[in-house]
Order: sequence, then structure tokens, then C-alpha cells
Amino acid sequence: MMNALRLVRGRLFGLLHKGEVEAAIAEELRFHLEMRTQDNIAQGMSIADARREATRRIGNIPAIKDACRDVSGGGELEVLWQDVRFAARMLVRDRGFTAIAVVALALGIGANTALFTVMSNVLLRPLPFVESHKIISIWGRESDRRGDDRMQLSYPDFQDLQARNSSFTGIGGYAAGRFIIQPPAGEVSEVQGARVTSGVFEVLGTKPFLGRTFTAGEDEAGSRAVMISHQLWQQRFAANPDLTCATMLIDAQEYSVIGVMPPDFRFPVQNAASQIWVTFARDREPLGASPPATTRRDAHFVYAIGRLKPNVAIRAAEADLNAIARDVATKHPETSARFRACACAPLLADLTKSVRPALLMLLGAALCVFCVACVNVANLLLARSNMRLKEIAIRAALGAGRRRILRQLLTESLLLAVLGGSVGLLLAVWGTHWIVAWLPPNFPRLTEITPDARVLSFTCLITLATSCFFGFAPAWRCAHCDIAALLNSESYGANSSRRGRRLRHLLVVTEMALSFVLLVGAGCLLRALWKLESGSAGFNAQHLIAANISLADPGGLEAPDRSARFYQELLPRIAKLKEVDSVSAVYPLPFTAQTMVADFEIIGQRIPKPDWPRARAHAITLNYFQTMEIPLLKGRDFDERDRREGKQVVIINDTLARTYFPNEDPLGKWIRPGLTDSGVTPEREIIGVVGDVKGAGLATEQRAEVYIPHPQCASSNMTLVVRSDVALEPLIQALRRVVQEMDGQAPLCAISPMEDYLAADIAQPRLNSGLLATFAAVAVLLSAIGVYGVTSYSVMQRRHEIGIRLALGAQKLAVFRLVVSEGVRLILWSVIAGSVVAFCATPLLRGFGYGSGGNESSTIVAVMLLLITVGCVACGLPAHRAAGDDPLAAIGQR
Amino acid sequence: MLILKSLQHGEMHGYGIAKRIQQLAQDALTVEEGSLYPALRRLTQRGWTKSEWALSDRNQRAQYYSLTRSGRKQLDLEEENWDRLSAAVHRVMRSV
Repeated sequence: MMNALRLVRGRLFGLLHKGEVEAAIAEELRFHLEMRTQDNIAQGMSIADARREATRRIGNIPAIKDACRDVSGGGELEVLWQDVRFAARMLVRDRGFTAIAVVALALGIGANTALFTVMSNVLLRPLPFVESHKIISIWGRESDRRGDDRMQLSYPDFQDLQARNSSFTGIGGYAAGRFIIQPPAGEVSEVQGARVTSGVFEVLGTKPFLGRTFTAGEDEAGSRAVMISHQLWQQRFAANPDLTCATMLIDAQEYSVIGVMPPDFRFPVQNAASQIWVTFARDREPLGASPPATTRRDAHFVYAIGRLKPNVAIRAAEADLNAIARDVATKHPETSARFRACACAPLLADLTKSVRPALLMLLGAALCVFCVACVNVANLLLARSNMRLKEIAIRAALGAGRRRILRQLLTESLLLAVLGGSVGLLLAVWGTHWIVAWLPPNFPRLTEITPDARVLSFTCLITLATSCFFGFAPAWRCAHCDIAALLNSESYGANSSRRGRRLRHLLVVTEMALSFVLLVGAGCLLRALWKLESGSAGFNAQHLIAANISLADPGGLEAPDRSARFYQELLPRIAKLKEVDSVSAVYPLPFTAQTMVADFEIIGQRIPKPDWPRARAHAITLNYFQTMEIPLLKGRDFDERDRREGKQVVIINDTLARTYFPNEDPLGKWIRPGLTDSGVTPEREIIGVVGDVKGAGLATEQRAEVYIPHPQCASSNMTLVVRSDVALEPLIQALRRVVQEMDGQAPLCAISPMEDYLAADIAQPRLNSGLLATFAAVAVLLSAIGVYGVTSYSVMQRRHEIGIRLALGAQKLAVFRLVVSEGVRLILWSVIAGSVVAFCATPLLRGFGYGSGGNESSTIVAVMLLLITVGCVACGLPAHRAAGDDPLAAIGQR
Repeated sequence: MLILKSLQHGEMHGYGIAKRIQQLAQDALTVEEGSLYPALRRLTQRGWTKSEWALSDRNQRAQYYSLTRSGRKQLDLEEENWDRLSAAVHRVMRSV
């Protein structure tokens, strides 16, 4: 080992300091000669004789110098350096070829590396918790049949699972939310946070940065302990290491800070970064007249995670939990209607479930582009090596060994690959930034996507692989060519053998077929995207602003009344502002992550409770439908008559009306949605039907929706929706002023135009289609270059023959057809191959939710036409040049 | 091995080593003197000798070679091997 190092160091020195080494060798020998000469003179010889004798004795000086150089000189390294310099000269000489090859490689490598960065960081990198592969998400399900919807747990169900399971060392529950905080020396603001049980931090394994985590006792009602994030600690508590007096107001109650989490700690992973963590203590206290949410088995709002015991498999854990769930369902049939089974999934897989198929598809597409790029470069290299055969034959004749030639040619392809790889890496870094900028904010692990060592080694690996892949075959052929035959032949390139031509054709067909498949995929995605974008959300999102507002202190028992009164006063004040056209409030806002879902009983139809249909529910104030511009189809809107104590009413959407009241008029019928703010779920009369709104996202199926007037379901968190033509800033100022006047403690937060929410909803399909279309375009471009290259090359080879034909009177058109026929045949083959592959691949595409039936065939036909056109142009150009050639020059060409 | 031996007692330049070997072998060996230099460089490359420029006693610049610690170890090793080899050959040749 040490020897090898010393050897390399010596060689490196010899390479870099060639002059010094030469001088040293010469000086040593000169010294020796001098000394010997002087000794000889001392023995009595004449000066000339002395010198002659010394020179004779020392031996063959050039040979000695050579031998010394062999030992101390650059050796292998120098040969390598010579090869590199030669390769570089060759590449510079054929600038056009080099440029195309480097660009092709850069595009292929860049695309792959960018996507691999995203994939590696999102799908592969373990979550930053202790042994994160043991952390499992636990969901509730209606039955243990495959494919049933998963849902959150209710608090009592969670407690049962926690107490009775035998597969987990610990289970923790959590629910994310937004909180209004006021730190000791600061102003009120709204932050993202989560309610957690004390078991959560044990499951995650992360130790706090300062202080401690929750104890089991702090889960009980009455506790007011909070843990804060490192960022919050630095910003609002001045990084004070003493926590004994640290307190803050959260939702108008005082909490004491018991711990600070480390800087990069992020939980729940799927939401925006939480700044505070509290226990479910407050949920255990009654709110208004209703019992605490933590005692209700029909309020499913708890997410759960658990840490598997060692040597317990996830399936076994799921079976264990299933048994408990079944037991619970038997004991509490009424309230545990929906919870009869459990689903377990590793946390990382769970988080990335929604994006994994798309990412994998994009990676597949990037690999296709990479293959196309490699095939392109291989083709180019084959053609080029053919042309250089004569030159190489000369060098072999002058004494270059086969291995040396092979090594030189491989160095060329390695240099090409390194160039392409470096440019590709730059492209990848830029591409990654670009992708991250376009991803929607709720993309899992968005902030963790950065290039890392894994990606770098991946790039190096594929760079080396490409150089071996496309460089080896031509190099081998060149090194083992028949020297004599080549030197004797007339043309400057070998007559291409049958096998060589077939190989090149095969490569071109492969390229085009791959591009075909990519184009079809892109076409399907783009069609689906267009359908999505042109579909209606159900309301007019333009000039519409949404802003969250929460009452700081809901007020315990009187909460619903206070909320109702607050909003009843606030909204008319806002409506009076000159900047505002119309205003209303709603909870929850469509197109956000907030949802409220209620099962409802249809009075008159005898359906048992477990089978009650489900609807998305909204609490709205007056003027909601006008502000959102949702059409009122039947009946009337809510008005001042619908007060808290009055008749309980509800408005339903078109889908609900058509699904559950198909042949009758829903107006006047009664349903009982399981929503309440007081513990009582009254029957409500349907007084109106409105148009559908795709609240869960443009790509989702339309669900039934119910709207309840705010006074009758008074939530203290609402989202204001304001229609206004005015610029954003002045509007926000005006709104803030009004809200401040009414309640200084209620901040206005999360203000953004509705269009932003719609854009975020569509961001991912848009990015997917955009990327796939880019890949497809690159692939088509490369294939076109491939076809162009092949045709040009064959034209060049046959120039002599074409010249003779022209001279003998052939029509230009005939010559054109002659050349083009070869290219057209290739194109037809590739189109056929591509269609076959595309047909087989369409079920895959459907798996990603895009494309359906007829769309695909028309897309395939369109792509066929496109590729045929592109291919014809690509081989038409050289053919046109050939036909217009000067016959004399062509014949004279050797 | 001969070079290592001649450096055993101190550092020397190339010419000195040549003269010394000639002296010790009492003219029984004639080594082509030039081949000394590649050999010296090989020894240096393997870490058994090290070289540095210094002024000779006639005030001329020359490369002086000296044994390193591993060089001394190597010398001992080779001496041992040589003794064993020559003893064996001697036994064979002297047997009747």
C-alpha cells in the first residue's frame, strides 16, 4: 500500500517536473564523468585520454538516461496524460461532433441526475428520526377489506389501541392545527403547531435540545405545558437557556414552556413546520355544552404513529390492531360505526405515497432520454470511428500496439463522457432548483431536496457507464482492424460492412421508438392536464381573497354564541369598506387541507347509521354564494331568518340532490347531518340547492356537500372570503384595521388570493406534464439528429457512387428518393416498434390516473404523424444536398 | 544488494559507490558504471535509500545517497538470503 502510494507520488512528480528530473539525471552523469576523468588524470593519463576512458567506462549514456527516465519519469501517468491530450485534440478537431455528443450526454445525464436528486431525497432518504424504518403510521378503516378508505382515529379509539396493543413499544397520537400565540414580549401571531400525546416523542426518539418532553400526566385535562421549536425559541425567547419562567399565551390561555426541540426537528412531517407542540389537554375540557372531543368516538381527528417492537413484522402488528378494533366496534356499535379495522404503513412510505408513482414515471422517462442520448452518441462514435479507420491503420503500421490504440480511443470516449457529465451536473443542479420552485408547497419533504453525495456518486457512475457502453465497441473494432487492407484501399473510410450498417440502423430505430413512447406519454398527460385546467372549480376564483381569522378566546361555555355574534358584527363592517365588493366567511375553505366531513341521515329513508351517506360540510355566513359566485339552483339562500334559535336549515349541492333525491324535489325534505357545536344534532330542512364545487381538488371526484348557516354551527375559526378589484396590499390594510377595531387579539392570517390555492392544486400535474413534455421534446430532437446523422453519413460514403449516377444522367428526384428511402424505412420501422410499445404501456399510464380509452389512440396517431414528419425532414436535408451535388466534385472525391 | 552494502557506513554519491564496490570486490567484479544510476533511483523509489543534493569535497554539487531504516532492514534480509543461498550452492558444488 505504502509502496503504491510512493510509486504514484513519484510518477506524479516526474510528470509535473519533467525538466527538473532531466536536469538531475544529466547532472549526476556529468558529475560521475568529471570525477572519473579527474581520477584518470591523477593516475597519469592525458586529459583527452582520461575523458575518453571515463566515457567508455560509464557505458551508453542515452540508454542510461532512458533507464533513469523509466524509473523516475512520469511512466504510466505520462502515457495517460499524452492520451488525454491527444483525445482532446481529436475532439476539438471534430467540433461539430463533439458539441452534439456533449449536449446529448449532458441532457441525458442532467435530466436523470435532477430527478434522481428529487427521488433520492424524497423517497429514499430515511426520515430524521431514530431508526425511522420502525415508525409506523396507524389509520382506522371501515373494514379490513383491501382498498377501503383510511381515516383518522377518534381519541377513545386511539386510547384503546394504545393500551391494548402488544406489537408496539409505544403509540403516539397527533393532530396538526394553527394556534394563536403571544409570547411574553411580542405581538400576537398565528403559527402552525400540533397537539400531541406524550408518547409521540418517545416513538420518534428525538431528544429535546433543551428542557424535557411531556410526561404522561400532562396529557390530562388542565395541563398547560408547551414545547417549542428551536426557531421560535431563538426568535421570541431570545434563545434564553433558562426555561423556568418562560410562558406564553396560546389561544388566550397561559402555557409554560417545558422544552425546546432541536433545530432541524420537524413533526408532523407532512405539514408546514410546526413551531409549538401542546398536549390534547384542552380537548379534554368541555367546550360549550358539548362533551369534550376526546370522549367522542365519532370525531375522527387523531393521526397515530407507533414504534414497532423488535422482531415484530408490520403485518403482525396490523393483525393485532385489527383484533382490537373489531373488539371495540362490537362493544360500541353506535358510535364506532366507521371504525372496525386498522391499517398500518411505514411512515416514510405513507408520506410519499401520493407522489411515488409520478416520480417513478418521471424517472423512467428520464432513463429513456438517457438511453436515447447514449444511443445517439454511440451512433455518432461508430460513424466517426469508421471514418478514422485509415488514420488509425497508419498509426498501427508505424508501431502503435493494439492495446495502446484501444486505450487511446477509450480515453477519448471517457473524456467525452466526463465533459458531458460535468455539463450534465451543472444542468442537474439548475434543473433541481427549477423543479423545486415549481413543486406545490404541500409536496412531501419539499425542504429536504438538495443535491448530496449520493447524487454525485450516481452521476459519476452513469458517466463511467456511458463511456464504457458507447465507447468500447467502436474502439475495439478500430484496434482490431485489418491494417493492410485499409492501407491499400482507395476510400478514406472502410466500406461499411453489412453488420456495421445494421447496427447503426438498429440504434436509430431504438432511439425513435423510445422517443415515440415518451411523446405518447407526454401527449396523454398534456391532454389530461388540459381537461383538468379547463374544468370548472364551481366558483369564480378571480379577484377573490381568502384570510383566516380566529377568535383568540372562544370563551368556554358561551363559545358558539360569542362566535356567532362576532361574525355577525364583523362582516357588515367589512362590507362597508369601499375596497370590498362583497364579503362572507366559511369554514372550511375549499381547496385547502381543511375538511369537515359529516355523515347524514335522510329523514324518511330508513337507513341504519353505519350506512349513512357522507358529505363534505361547510359552515357559512350570509352572502357566501354571491361572494364566491356559486349559482343557486333552487330554493333560497340563508338570510337573517336563519338565526341560532330558529328553524334548523341546510343547503345542499347538486350532486347530493341528484344522488339521494333522484326523482323528487329535495326542497322541504329533512336530513340530519352529524355536525354539532352543542352536542345536539338536529334535523335540518333543505331550503336550497346550489351548484357543485370541487372542494377537494380539481382532480377529485365530486362529492356531496352540505352548507349550514354559521349561527347554527358557530365555529370560532373562519376564513373570510372577500371579493375585491383592489390591489392586495391596501385591501389587507383595510381589513386588518376593521378586525383590530373589533378584537385586538384576533389576528388576520394566511391571506392569499384564491387563485393561488387553485394554482397549488394544479401545480403537480402541471409540473409532471411539463417535465414529461420536455423530456419527450429532447428525445425527439436527439432522434432527429440521429436520423440526420445516419443519412448524412451514408450520403458521404456513397458520394462517389451518387456522383457517377448524376453524371450518367440520373434525375435529381431519383437520387433524392434513393437516399431518402433508407431513412424512411428506418422511420417506419421505429414508428411500428414505438406504437407496439406504447400500446403495451398504456395500462401503466392509466395507473397514474391519466388517459382513458379513446384519448390514447388519437394521441398515438398524432405522435405517429409528428415523428414521421420530423424524420422525413431529418433525412430529407442530406438527401437534398446529395441530389444537388456537383457530379464532378463527387466523382473526384476519394 | 551491493549498493545497499556499500552505503552501510554512511552516505555517498554515485561515483563514490562505484569506486567502493570496485575496491571491496578487489576488481573481481566489473559493473558497467552507468547502470548504477537507474538502480539507485529504483532503490530510492522503493524507499530503501534516500537522496539529497550536497557539495562534494571538491565543492561540486552531487546527489548523496544514504540508507533509510527500511533500507537497513532490507540489507539484513538480503544478507541472510545470500548467506543461505551461497551455503547451499557451496554444499552442492563441494559434494562429491
